[in-house]
Amino acid sequence: MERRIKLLKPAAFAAAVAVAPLSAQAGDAVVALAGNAFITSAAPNAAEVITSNGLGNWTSASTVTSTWFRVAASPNCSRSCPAAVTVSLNARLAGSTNSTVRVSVNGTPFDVKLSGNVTKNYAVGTVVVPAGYVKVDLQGVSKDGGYFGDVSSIGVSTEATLNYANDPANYYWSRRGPSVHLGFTVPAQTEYFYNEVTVPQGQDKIGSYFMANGFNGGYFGMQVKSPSERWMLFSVWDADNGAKTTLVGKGGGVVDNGFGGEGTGGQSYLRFNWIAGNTYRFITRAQADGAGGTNYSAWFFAPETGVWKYIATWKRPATTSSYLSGVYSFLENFIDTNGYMERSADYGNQWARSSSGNWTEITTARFTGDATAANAQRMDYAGGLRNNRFYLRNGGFFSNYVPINQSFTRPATGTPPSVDLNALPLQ
Amino acid sequence: MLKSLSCALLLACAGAAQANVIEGFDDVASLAARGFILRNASTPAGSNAFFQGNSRVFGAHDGATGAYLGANYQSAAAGGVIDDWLISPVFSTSTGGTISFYVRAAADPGFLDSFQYGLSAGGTDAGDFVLGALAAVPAGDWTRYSLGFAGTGTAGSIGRFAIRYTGPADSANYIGIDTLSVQLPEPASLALLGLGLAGAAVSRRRARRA
Repeated sequence: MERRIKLLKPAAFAAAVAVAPLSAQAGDAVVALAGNAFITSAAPNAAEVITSNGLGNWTSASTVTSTWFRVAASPNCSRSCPAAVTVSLNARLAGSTNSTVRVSVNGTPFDVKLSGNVTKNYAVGTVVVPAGYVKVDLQGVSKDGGYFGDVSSIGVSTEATLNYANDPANYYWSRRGPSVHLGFTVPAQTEYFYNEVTVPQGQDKIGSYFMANGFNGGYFGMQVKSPSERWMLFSVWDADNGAKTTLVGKGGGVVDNGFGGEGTGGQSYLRFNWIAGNTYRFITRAQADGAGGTNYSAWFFAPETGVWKYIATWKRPATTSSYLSGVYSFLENFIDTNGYMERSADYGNQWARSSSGNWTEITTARFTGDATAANAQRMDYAGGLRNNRFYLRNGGFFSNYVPINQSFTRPATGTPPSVDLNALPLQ
Repeated sequence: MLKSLSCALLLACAGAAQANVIEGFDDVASLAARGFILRNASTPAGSNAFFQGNSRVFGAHDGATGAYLGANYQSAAAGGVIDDWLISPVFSTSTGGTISFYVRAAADPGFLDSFQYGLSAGGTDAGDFVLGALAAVPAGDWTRYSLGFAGTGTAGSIGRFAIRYTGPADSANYIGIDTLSVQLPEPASLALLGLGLAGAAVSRRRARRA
């Protein structure tokens, strides 16, 4: 979403309401908390919540709710071209008669007094900010009842172009943040694909999926499920005609089940607390099953164990090709409330091995993004080259995004992976 | 700060000369009408090239706050290479002289702007210019550069001066160019050929910013 919002005179209010129907903040860009805000600091079991109406159950003075919007660099300006933004708060009181809340715009604090239970537009203040994401923090100061107030949106007036999530039907996705991908073109009749993934220390945020070996039909990578649990996850979709993917075999300790949500298929994972900073090696394999389907298998190598570990083999029926195609990697966050956290990973040393045994190094990747990125609902994404490897980065509302839909080429290593494919375990 | 590159390009230094301010970039839109060439040869080309200076980034070296020539990373598309050329109108090179100008870059951490400058014998193609070494545009304050050239001793010989803004777009930021002048020996009015310079040959004095 990209709109150019100008300070409007009163006569223009009617037109402004027409393009900004979410609240009565005429003339302002209406940055709905439902799609752009997160509880970024709170005590355990805090009551505050972001719903489709915005911030609710605001009871604790220690809870911080952060909302982001992006000020675009002007065409004829520098990277950090400053712009004046005038911020307002669309809020109502419930459960209190009066309250004072602190609104900090990129760190500049303003105390705003709320009164009455009618939704109002409260003026906050004007701050000159550099181009990029602007963070608006809300924190309670005082109240004479149980609640500080319900806040539905932040109003922003500026001459600069703004970007923020403005599609209510996709707020869930915009709160998760943009997913970014690396597409690899592999030779025909690719049987094996090899990739190496390193998650830098501190980038292994909860809710991250560092997907290494994706293909038409499935994907394989590593996830952070909770503070204490991480997975190596290998999933294969059901056939396009709806026929079910079935498990052929799996490694020790691997859990298998079906999955749904964004599709259906077979899922297998190993609880394995992989370590940020280590480089993990991934191999996927496609083999015709002789009955019109394809068996897909997955292995990973952890430096801390020093051995290849088998995840599973899944039989996907009715496939049109029994080789790996559509090979890619991606980076995503799958927990919407954690969408404000930044993550990144390096992807290096990609190789494809044909069914005749020839290794081909894959040195070019196509950097793409999902609809959240493509529609500028979120612009905190990047990809490219870093230390001679590809990298992906998303979340965290960093300002220097890298445009999607471009290709990057890494230096070739020239040395095929040192792995004995015939010795890969099957249990 | 003065960074003189006099005698560069194997040309001898000019003697004392009267300054004839050619351009203060009060009106970038009219540069072409006054004989300047603004060329964006960036690959792939971006969304803009040279433009009137933006006082939100920094003020002009001299004159009104936006009275300078600006250019930025958007000269080339993301991932591309900037190749912006400011080429002066022709001037006489029958006798020696000195060209000077001021440049400045916006100071944003992690970004670097680069430029070159040099002379041609009147040609306007990139290959016609003998350029000096690639240098970083100083950030933080306006910096003066100068280039001396020897006269050819041939009546009617002409030259052009060019400033080339270049470098990877992804690491570039924003530059300004201001107060481009040619200093020629007296009588200056005879040295200037006036091909597009007739109006610009009138000296213009502006209050220098502190």
